[in-house]
Amino acid sequence: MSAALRIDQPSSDEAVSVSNVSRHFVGRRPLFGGGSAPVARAVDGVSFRAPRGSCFAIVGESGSGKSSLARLLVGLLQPTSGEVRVDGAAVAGLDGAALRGLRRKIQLVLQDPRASLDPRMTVFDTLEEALQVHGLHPGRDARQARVADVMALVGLNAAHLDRYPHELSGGQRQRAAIARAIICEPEILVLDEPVSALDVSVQAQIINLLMELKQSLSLTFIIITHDLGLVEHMADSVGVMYLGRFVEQGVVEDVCGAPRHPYTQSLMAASSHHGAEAGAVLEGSIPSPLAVPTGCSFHTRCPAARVLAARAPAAAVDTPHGRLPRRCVQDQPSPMPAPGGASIATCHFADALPAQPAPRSA
Amino acid sequence: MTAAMDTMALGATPPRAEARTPRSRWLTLRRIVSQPKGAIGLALVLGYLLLAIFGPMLAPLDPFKQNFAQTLKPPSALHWFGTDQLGRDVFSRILLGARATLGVGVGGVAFAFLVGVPLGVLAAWRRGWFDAIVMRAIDVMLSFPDIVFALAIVAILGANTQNVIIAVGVVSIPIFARTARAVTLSILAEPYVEGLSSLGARPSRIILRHVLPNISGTLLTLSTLLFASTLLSASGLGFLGLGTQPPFPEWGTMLGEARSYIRSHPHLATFPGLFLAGSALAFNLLGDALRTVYDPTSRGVAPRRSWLDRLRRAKVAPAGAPAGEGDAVPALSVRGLRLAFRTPAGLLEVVRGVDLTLQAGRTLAVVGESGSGKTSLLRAVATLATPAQVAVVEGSIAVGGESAVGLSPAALMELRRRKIGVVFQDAASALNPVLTVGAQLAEAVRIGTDLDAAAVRARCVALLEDVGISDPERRLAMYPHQFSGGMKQRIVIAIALAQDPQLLLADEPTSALDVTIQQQILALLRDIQRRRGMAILIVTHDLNLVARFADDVAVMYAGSLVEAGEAAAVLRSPLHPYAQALRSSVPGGSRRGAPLPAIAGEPPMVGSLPGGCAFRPRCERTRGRPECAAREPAARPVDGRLVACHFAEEGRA
Repeated sequence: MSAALRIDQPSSDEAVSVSNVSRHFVGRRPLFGGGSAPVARAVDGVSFRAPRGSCFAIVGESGSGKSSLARLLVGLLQPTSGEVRVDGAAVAGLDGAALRGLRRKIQLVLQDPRASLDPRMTVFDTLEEALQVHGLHPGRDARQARVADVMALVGLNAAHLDRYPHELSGGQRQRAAIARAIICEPEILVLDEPVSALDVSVQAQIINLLMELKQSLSLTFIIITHDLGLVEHMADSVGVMYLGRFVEQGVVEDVCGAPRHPYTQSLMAASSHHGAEAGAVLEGSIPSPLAVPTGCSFHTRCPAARVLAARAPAAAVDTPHGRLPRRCVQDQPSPMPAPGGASIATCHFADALPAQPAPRSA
Repeated sequence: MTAAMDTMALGATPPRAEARTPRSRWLTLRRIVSQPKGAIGLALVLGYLLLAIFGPMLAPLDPFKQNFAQTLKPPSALHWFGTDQLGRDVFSRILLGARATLGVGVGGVAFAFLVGVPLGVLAAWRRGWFDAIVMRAIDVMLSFPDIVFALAIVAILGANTQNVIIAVGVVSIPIFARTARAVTLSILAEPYVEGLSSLGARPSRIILRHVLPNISGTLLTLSTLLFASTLLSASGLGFLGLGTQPPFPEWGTMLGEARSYIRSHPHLATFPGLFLAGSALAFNLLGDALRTVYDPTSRGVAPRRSWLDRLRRAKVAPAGAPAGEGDAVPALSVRGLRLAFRTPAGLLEVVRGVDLTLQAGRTLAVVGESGSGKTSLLRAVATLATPAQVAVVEGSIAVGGESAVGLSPAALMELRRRKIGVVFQDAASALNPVLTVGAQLAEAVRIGTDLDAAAVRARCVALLEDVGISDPERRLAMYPHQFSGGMKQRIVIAIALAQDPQLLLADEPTSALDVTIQQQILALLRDIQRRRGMAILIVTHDLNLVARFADDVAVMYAGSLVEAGEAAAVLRSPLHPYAQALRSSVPGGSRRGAPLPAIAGEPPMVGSLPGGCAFRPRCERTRGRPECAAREPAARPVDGRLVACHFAEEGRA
């Protein structure tokens, strides 16, 4: 329970630890009229730890920065500040053999296996290439044996080896992509929307496969998704991302069962499995990361802030988005640990909000 | 993606359309020859190649032998193309010149390819200053006319065949480099390249094993097209006396020599000119055909029915009578509908006997996986299925009491305009990026009416207000890219509503959107439905959406409805084993971390369905009972809904 709360002291037991990581993309300065270059804060001060063998989920909408965070984890992007440690070693500053060694430990599985496999290579070529890149299992016979082992692990058979990606079904393609990710015996898999491109009936197969592999290969999972059902099913801890920051993080039972941040509450309401028309519909869309709102970045859409402003008009100010509490508009909220539970919500009024336990699905 | 796959399958016809089959070189060839321009181009190119190889051997007379008694003779039995000013046989000279002429073309293109492609690929890979320098240099090169540039090079290096090759090659380098850079950039943006980097693959491996094979199609096409222009540049040089030096014949040089006699002896210029023009045409045709084969936008809609097939065109089955049952005419009535893709191998049934009734003011959700035929069904109802690709084998579709099957294209368009609105999954591609939102909306409003500009504008403003877009006056002047995904979908909905349809068809309208935006769009659709009393047919794979939004649901599997009824009842207690499995395999519903009750196997492929019940191979209820294999279960009423299972009663909890 407390593992999720210890987000500051590193420990050797963590497969992945991320401390205060930011990634800013700097645009071009306007040629005329002065002004400074626009900065997009794709990831802004994110911290979390994933103990060995656990599953951490990153939830967010498009534009929340969750994909940038995934790329920071696997070293495809370098952080502007902060530190990403994989298996105790910092990712930044590695190069050559050390970087390749690190990359062997942490593998990325992408959403759309149709796009993530080279259309002109057979399954065997794709899998063998991964071994060649890392110089594992030297010798063609040894590589063939390893490929056959992994194919069996992901539930494909020898007949699939000579097929091209387009000759496989969606589920088989995703199995091949997973095989490529695990063939070099990694410790961590970063799964970017691993099932959302698949058919409903196949999704469950792949989820089951991933859970089996996690168990049998003692893998650590980092899942990036927008599907809260998947989070509830697979993850131990979760971070809810909005405009580059975690607005709420903690163990899944607490965050999904009793969300404290209004954004998490809206997400839960929007994706609950209940038939009834759930909660208020969240207005507007996620603002551009080039112009993150002042104060609490969620204040432009926050339904709770509107209620609070109506309740305490004296402490409210007028904004283009209606009358809102002054603190929400002006002060950036700091993370607030839950009184008894194991979650942290970055909201001024996290515990002053009317409790809205999301209806759990039957 | 489910829908995307469906749509692709619909365009290309059989699902798993072999878009870019790496294995089958023969397929590429077949697809070239199946186009008239490809067949002609390929035949001509082969002819020219044979000419270049065997031409000199075939020459009937000595091409160098001068005969001053026989100068400038018109074509005759001895000299088929006449003789030139030195009395040499023009026909023989043309045959001999083929090799030099075509050799310069091939050499020039090869030179440009070998220099330009590595430059472009490197520029795309390195980016930064290298890219900037290469691109600026290319811009400078492109700002000179080709022939001037080539002239300058030959003038410096001296006139001979080898230098001509270099000159015409250099001229084409910028085009190769530019194209190679552009396609490399797009391949580098593919997720599998990112996956390779994260795997730890070296750049050289990525370039050689992944980028080059994937860009080869485009570059091959470009080479063929550039061959024609290279040939012409080379001949231009020959014409100016800077090409192959006499007495060796080359078509451009021959043309140049014929210049002085163009008035008195036009035949001298005609024949080399014809051969030259023919070769340029041949390579252009072939290049065009190749482009159709490799072009991503033509992929999937490439005519499966070749021009040969079109001669023996299958007959479209006539439509059934429009169904008008009871007093209230339903907004949509589909009876016994069977649809089939036309494929080279014959008809491939994708919708196998579907009945649907949708009353005004209600929402019907059709749920299914990729390949279930749900998108084909929707497109047929939307009257968007092209008869050349999809055949209505049997059954009827009636929209607001009017039959939508077997109409002329004009009548179909009229029906669609008056009664049907369609919202697609991907709003971004449903809008034209270069037109303002106002222009696109106005177009939809104006069709079939004679409103003046002010009235059209007023209507556009009202429509945008209807879909909840504030400040509509200003938004009309904006372009699609200035809107977020959710806003774009609102605009697409506004366009669909422009003609006050009775029936709104929505194909996965929210699956490309974020969860919170999905809710907004669904709330909007529901609100509009309430105000207009419109019927909505929605195609989706998302059971949560069905639960929240639909009144009725029809679960589709392998082209048939397996269970249909009121959404609440069907979702609460599904009876068909597929519907049951679908509901229980959604994560979040079961115990955390425990294995999900997954449906074994893969969704079936159209065209290879098992006999009897199509769900049989994946079904847990059949347990090998002979009924399931013997005949396909018909939909029958059970517990207030229709279920197509021999043992539907066993599904009761």
